[in-house]
Amino acid sequence: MTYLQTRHNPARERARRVLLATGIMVVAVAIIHFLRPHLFPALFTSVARPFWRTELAIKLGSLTSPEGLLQENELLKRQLSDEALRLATVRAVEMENAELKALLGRASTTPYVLSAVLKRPPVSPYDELVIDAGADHNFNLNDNVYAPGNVLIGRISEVLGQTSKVALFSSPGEKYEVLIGTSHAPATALGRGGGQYEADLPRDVKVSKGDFVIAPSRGDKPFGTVISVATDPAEPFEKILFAPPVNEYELRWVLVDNSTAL
Amino acid sequence: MKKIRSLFGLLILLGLLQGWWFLILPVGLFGAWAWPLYVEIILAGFVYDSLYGFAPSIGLWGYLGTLVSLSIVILTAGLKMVVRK
Repeated sequence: MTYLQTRHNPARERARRVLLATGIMVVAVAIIHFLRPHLFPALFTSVARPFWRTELAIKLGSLTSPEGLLQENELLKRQLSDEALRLATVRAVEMENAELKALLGRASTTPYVLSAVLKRPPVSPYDELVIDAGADHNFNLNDNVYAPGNVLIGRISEVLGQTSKVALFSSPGEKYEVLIGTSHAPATALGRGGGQYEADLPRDVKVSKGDFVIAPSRGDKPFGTVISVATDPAEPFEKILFAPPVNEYELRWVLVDNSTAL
Repeated sequence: MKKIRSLFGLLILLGLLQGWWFLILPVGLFGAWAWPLYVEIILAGFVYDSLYGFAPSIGLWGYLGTLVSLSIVILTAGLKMVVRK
């Protein structure tokens, strides 16, 4: 009489169960992420935020000795009194500027929210910034984000509880209508990532290194400065490379305009 | 071996907090080869995307970490089956 031999391999059985459990977990997580796309980012960011804040505090020197802090405090007080003198002049110019803008029919001031940059490129491969303010400061999707000096660098792409992600305008593939140089030559700028853009212009348009670039759709703030003009005699167009006047890789603070989203 | 795996887990955690994908990737590749079903790398890919990716404006590109980690686990599992036969 012959019997069927049953093969029972416990190790293989265990591996199969683990594989099945992992597969079920992956599917479950995918479904939850599809239904609640902000759940996991908010959860993991709230866990990582204290570490990021501590790192930022160390970088900014907040954890130095009391003596060091007192000295720094004294130095800052002195600088502050010097700056107060300059501020009086600046205020006068600002008032004049506000009056002139009001005459032209535009808002003179915009309430900005200052936010610390927790993570920035090139560490993150997504060409994004993670900043230390979010729904708690009434941020909305597509709120404009400015670097110090009122340089428009991106927009809010995701709002979480106490953090937000900022998509930089220079992200690869992003396109903008811009005006280049003193002649305001119109062109389409293409983001190249890493804080750089490129645009093609006819060769007879005079553009030189250091010329300003403005994006009318993004307000009247400076959008970038020309860093290189590449001309090939065989081509009818010249390639203009430009970048924001600030280095996005070194940003520690940004300003978010949470009053309007373009 | 458990200690090494824990150490690798800590390295991955450090890479996640700092956004150092260039640390997570080699650790994940080695782990996926050394241990059967190295789930830490799948989790790491997903958490990395949650922290730094997943923005609607960047589309599928925001899921790069998850896709790469799943690919690593699947490819190394297949490769191990072929090599260790």
